[in-house]
Amino acid sequence: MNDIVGMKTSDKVSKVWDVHVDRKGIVNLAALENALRAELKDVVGVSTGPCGVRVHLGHEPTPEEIKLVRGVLQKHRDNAQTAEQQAFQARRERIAAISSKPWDALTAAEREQVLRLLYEQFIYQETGKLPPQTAG
Amino acid sequence: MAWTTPRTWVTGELVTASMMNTHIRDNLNVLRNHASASYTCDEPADYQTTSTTFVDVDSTNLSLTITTTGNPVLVHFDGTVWSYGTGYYAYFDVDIDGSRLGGDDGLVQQSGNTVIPVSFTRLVTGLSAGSHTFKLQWKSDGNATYHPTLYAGAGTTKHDVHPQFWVWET
Repeated sequence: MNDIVGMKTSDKVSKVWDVHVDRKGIVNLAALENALRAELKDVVGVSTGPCGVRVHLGHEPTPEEIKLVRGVLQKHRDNAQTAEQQAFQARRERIAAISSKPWDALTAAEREQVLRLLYEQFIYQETGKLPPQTAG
Repeated sequence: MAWTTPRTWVTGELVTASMMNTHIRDNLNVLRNHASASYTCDEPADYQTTSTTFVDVDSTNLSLTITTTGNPVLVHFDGTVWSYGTGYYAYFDVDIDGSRLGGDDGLVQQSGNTVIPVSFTRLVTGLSAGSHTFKLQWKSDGNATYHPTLYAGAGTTKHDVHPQFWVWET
């Protein structure tokens, strides 16, 4: 992987420094950003595209920080999910479990699941986020 | 080749080859050969970002440099973007020689938990004659799960579309 550090004046006010890693393939952006934020300060975000992965920092990175970024990318697995992604995945599985049945064939517990899913959909549409997930 | 203010011809004056070449040939060439550059994406991967500050979409391919004669420049982008949903936006801007054209939250924004075309054409005035670099930039709302995707002809099922970015001196 190649690391290229570039300083950009990409805003009339703020500056962003990029660490470029020539990693190809699928990247789970949310999980990757969480992992980077656990190791580094001032992470502005992560971008991916045909040229690889760019980690955006709000300060000029030190050589040690560049190594940290490289290490996080090496450990990254695209099937690692964040808590939010796991909640979405669980929701899709719940929908799949009951969607093969007509309403009349649903059990009381399954109908409650439908109500929960409608509630989550409503909250998501209004706020852009799923509500907290409860156990079970 | 630079533009020369067209000569005011005087009855009876001797018209030389030099005059004709400067005021007719060279000026017509300037009009014909507009400084321009463009890039149409057909990439092996789509673009995504979680950055909350404007960053280059692609500092190699979506960065265009032209040498102008001081006339206004048209800047255009069109592409297809998916944002996750209500309240989560993708913002676009153009960086010209290190300064963003739109400022603030940029030129255009997109949202909607669906796939939406994004397009803008802007007339940029006040650029001096010389070399100028135009970079397409974007940012997201900052929630890493709900980041935008710009489809770039990467073969994504049902979204194998090709954005274009161009600049053209008028």
